[in-house]
Amino acid sequence: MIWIEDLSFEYSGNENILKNLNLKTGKKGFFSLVGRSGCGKSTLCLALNGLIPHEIGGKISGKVEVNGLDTQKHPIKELATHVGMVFQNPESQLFALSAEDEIAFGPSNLALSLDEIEKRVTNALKLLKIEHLRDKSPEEMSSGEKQKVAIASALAMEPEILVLDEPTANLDPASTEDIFRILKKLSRNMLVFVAEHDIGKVLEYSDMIAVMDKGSIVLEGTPEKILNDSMIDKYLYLPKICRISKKIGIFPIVSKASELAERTRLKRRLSSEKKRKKKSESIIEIKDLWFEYKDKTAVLKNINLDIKKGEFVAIVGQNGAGKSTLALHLNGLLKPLRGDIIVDGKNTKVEKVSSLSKIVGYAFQNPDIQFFEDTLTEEISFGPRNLGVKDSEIKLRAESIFRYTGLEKFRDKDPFSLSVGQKRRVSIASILSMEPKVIIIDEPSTGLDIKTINSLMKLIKKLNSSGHTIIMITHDMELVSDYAERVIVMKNGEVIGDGNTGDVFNNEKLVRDAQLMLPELMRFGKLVGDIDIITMDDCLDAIEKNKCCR
Amino acid sequence: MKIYEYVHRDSLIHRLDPRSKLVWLVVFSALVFMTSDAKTIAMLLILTLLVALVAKLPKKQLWSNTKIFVVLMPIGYILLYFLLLGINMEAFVGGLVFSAKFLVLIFSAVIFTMTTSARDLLFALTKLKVPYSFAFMLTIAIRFIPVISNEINNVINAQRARAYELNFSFKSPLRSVQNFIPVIIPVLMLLLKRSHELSLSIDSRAFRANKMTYPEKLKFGLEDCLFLFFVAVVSSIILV
Repeated sequence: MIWIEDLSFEYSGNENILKNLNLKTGKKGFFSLVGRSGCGKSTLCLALNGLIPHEIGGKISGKVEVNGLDTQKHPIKELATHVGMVFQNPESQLFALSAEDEIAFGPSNLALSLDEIEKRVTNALKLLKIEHLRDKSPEEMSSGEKQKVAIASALAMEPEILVLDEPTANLDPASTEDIFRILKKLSRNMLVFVAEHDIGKVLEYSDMIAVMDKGSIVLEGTPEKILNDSMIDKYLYLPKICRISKKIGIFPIVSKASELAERTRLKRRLSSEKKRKKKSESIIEIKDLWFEYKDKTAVLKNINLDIKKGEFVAIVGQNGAGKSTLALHLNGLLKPLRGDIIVDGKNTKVEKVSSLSKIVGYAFQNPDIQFFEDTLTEEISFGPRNLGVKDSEIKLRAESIFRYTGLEKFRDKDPFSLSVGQKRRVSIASILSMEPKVIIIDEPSTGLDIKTINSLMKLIKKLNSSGHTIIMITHDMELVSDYAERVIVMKNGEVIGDGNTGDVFNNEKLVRDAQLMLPELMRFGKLVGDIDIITMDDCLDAIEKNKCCR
Repeated sequence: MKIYEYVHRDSLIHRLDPRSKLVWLVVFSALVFMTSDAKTIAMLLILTLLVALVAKLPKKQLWSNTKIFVVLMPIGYILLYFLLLGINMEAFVGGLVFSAKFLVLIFSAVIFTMTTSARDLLFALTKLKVPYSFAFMLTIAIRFIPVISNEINNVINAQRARAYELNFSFKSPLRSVQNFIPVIIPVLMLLLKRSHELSLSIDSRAFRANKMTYPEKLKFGLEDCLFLFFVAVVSSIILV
């Protein structure tokens, strides 16, 4: 049980990140804490096992009790046997050389007998169904597997409470569902406390949901109660099905495609009337591309693609399918082992990366990997300066990019001081200053809340409308259905599907093979027999035309 | 990049207790530097390669791990001996023998790491009363060096995608160091962040709450006895 009374906290020198927060949970069940990025969710998680205030300093007032223990009075090592923690990034939680050692680490610290340690390791492996990973090292595991090992390591301490901070942020849809199912099962015997920015991810699993905003809990209750609360839209974006339900007046609000389908009873309409305009001029041509890393960790097999000028393309597939490996070929960072890639008439085999970067800009997933200048202006000037662009010209470009991306007011700030969403923007801006024709964006939505994603995607859409070709790598099927006109599906280094967004998602075999999750509205469309429904507007249109809902 | 390359095989050498292999490593290294007899050194080199053969190590990988030494060491030492003793047969043999000494050392160390998983090595070290904090540091180093090198690679890629070119010139070292700044700063920031996250995760699991119990994984068996007997026989032949 977690009991928080009037908790306030500030990191030394900053404004209050938690403000008079009150929260009480049950002893068991699935409890979700939802709220936008930066609302204080992670800080609250750190306060639950005493990392705040024992390890991370700041000014704290109020009380946090877990299972009757005041976290300010009991040390972390004692709290560790009551509260297990799992963090967002699996890569930086695992340090041991095998799953077994990792899981045994906690119990060993408790000086348990060797038999007991062995028993707990076996148990934890079994609970997560990862017995086969026992002797594997983290390097040999997928991200989903790593996160399961991190959960098992926390469970081996046999805590009554398991706290997870955005545990699936880096995972593909199939692993995400897998992890949430496991957590749901665990929640029968313990309290599972999940912090998550996307309420859609936890809606069907949660017993209770607390909504957090600006450091306080603003709403609390069962999923149903939260969905139907008139205030919810102020704090969060609801999933699309819920928003449609609200818009067309279905109350209480439904959240599942099947429920919406049942309530709206659309007539079948199978004809595909919409024709998208064909684009003809190629910007990137990939011919018989084969590639393999020296240690054979990633491969590409016989890839042939023709990307047209002005297209908005999404590359999807599971972790490790080869999406990034393929994308890194497009600006010459990787060179084909066999085959050719022609970018705007230039063969990447012979062109330098620096000259290709004028044509293809690459915005990496983690913006932190590129910042080194003191101000945004400098950061954005780095690319064009390397290209030998004149200072006066760079200044002009920076001005117009600042205006275009809405970053004007931050121009003299240190990029590291910005929020994650703003950093993503800067990383795109620093690519734009080289005026590329093609922009590759790697996982634009990871770790961002829906509002921030929407405003970032608006920028990307604007770039696309002004003629840039966009190539987006993502796990987020909602983004794909909202923005991409063409989808390339990869699996084990091969392209197994390529076509219009609608066609790809309507190909059941393909969706199953690549373990994609159908976007919620397309699931709805399928249920009502209208395969043309891709976006919110399509859906509202179809409902409007049929006029047969309630 | 890996600093520790273990190759899994089912062989006698793999099954040995890492402590036996450590003894072998130390004894052979000592022997080879106690003698200057060409025949003895040649024998030790052959025996070392024999161990690799028994361990069923893939020859290609063994070669790629050692080739730089196998090629450069003899050339280097022979040239050095030529400089010292003049160009003659004696200097040639002297250089060859001296480099063979080092090759015994290098081959046995490489064979040791290729046949002993990092985990087993750690178990052995803790068994040999090496302080736990040292073993812990070693684990983290082995685990994270590939991760960090991957991270560095990502940073370089991100900067190259912005038309940055990484180059070093001895003519203007200061300029070159400046040239590295776009890589060094993000890497340092990433490392700081990662170590902070890691420390939170480790603290959350009651690190240093008590004296640790450490799983017992090592078995000293008949094969170990035979192997150590073989090492003892070789050393007595050489020493007597």
